[in-house]
Amino acid sequence: MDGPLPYSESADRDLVESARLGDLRAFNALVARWERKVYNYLLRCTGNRDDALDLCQEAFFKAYRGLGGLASADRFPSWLFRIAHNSMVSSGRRKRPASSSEGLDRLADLASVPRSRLGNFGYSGAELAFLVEQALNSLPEPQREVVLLKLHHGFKFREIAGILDCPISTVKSRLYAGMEALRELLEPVQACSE
Amino acid sequence: MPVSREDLTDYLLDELPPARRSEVEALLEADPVARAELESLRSVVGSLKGLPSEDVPHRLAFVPRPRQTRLKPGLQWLGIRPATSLWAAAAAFSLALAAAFVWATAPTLSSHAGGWSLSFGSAQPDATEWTEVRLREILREELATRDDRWRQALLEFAQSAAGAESTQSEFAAVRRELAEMHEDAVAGYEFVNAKHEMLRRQLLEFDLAAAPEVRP
Repeated sequence: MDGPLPYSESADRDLVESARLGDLRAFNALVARWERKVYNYLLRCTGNRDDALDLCQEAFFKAYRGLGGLASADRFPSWLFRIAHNSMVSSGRRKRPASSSEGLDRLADLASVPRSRLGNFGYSGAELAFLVEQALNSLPEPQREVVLLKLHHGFKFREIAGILDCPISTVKSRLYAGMEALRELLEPVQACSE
Repeated sequence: MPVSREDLTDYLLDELPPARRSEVEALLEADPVARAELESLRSVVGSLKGLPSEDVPHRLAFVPRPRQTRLKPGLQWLGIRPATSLWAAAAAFSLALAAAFVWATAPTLSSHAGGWSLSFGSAQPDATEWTEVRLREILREELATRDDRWRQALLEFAQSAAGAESTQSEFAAVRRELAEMHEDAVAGYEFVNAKHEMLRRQLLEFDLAAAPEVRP
């Protein structure tokens, strides 16, 4: 027998439509699906867990109140991230996470060592994640945000342009510059991990 | 057209138009340097995608707006407020119930050849058969109706008094108080009922012939 899908299996579009009609459980299903992503995006942009949580709650609250203004239910994810981004900017809590000097020093040391001398010195997954995080934090703020939205969250260029309210060409130039910087920083790390 | 690093990035991120994508694929087939470049970019993308995510410290959930604490007009008229004067509310309810019963049944006392009888409402039943059956029916109906309304009132009262932010234990305490209040109201109702029954029996047993003659 075909019946309505459970909330956890429903598409975002269906949940948005239900939530627009006042179905709070549908909106809570959207929250459960997206809160972790929004929280982590805000955490990496603010560098502060309390700020990220506050902004995350604010973003979902604004989203709930503004659902009626969402032009297309299919655009819910980028619309939600735009709200989160705007909340962060308007609150003034956007800042560069403090990058550990130890992590950047390690990256710099590795970059200075000839690849032939690195041998089989490898990193564990946690260490590698730490160094990647340090490299990401060393990027200028606009580049870091675009890199996160594109590479970590998988948004399209036009969606990122909508989230950040800037031209697609700006999104692309920030991404290319950010990726180039990351490649230079991470090359020795990845050589050690191979 | 040669393959630029931007092209490779767009290719890797699936952002190239189909025509350009085919061109890039063809160029990659022929150019080992471009393939190495692509692998290097892929490695960066893989590192970023693999970054761990933290759990949200406190899960978010939206709850329905708590019911307004405004009581129904009738209870407001009695001056009852949530979580206060529960016993007063019970007493007021009992009195209101008794008054409602008297109003609803409209008892009248009448005399006839067989003696005195107590009648209710506009119906004119037989003097003696009426009371044993009809009075019980009316009482049962009244009690059942009031009980349903009372349960509904209790539910609304408990929800408004407990509020969305109260703990389970507070909610349980309010429910216990309300249950006691309910019992008290029922006891009050039964008391009125018993008084009514006693009056009815006294009237039925009243021997008019034996009563002293009253002269104006």
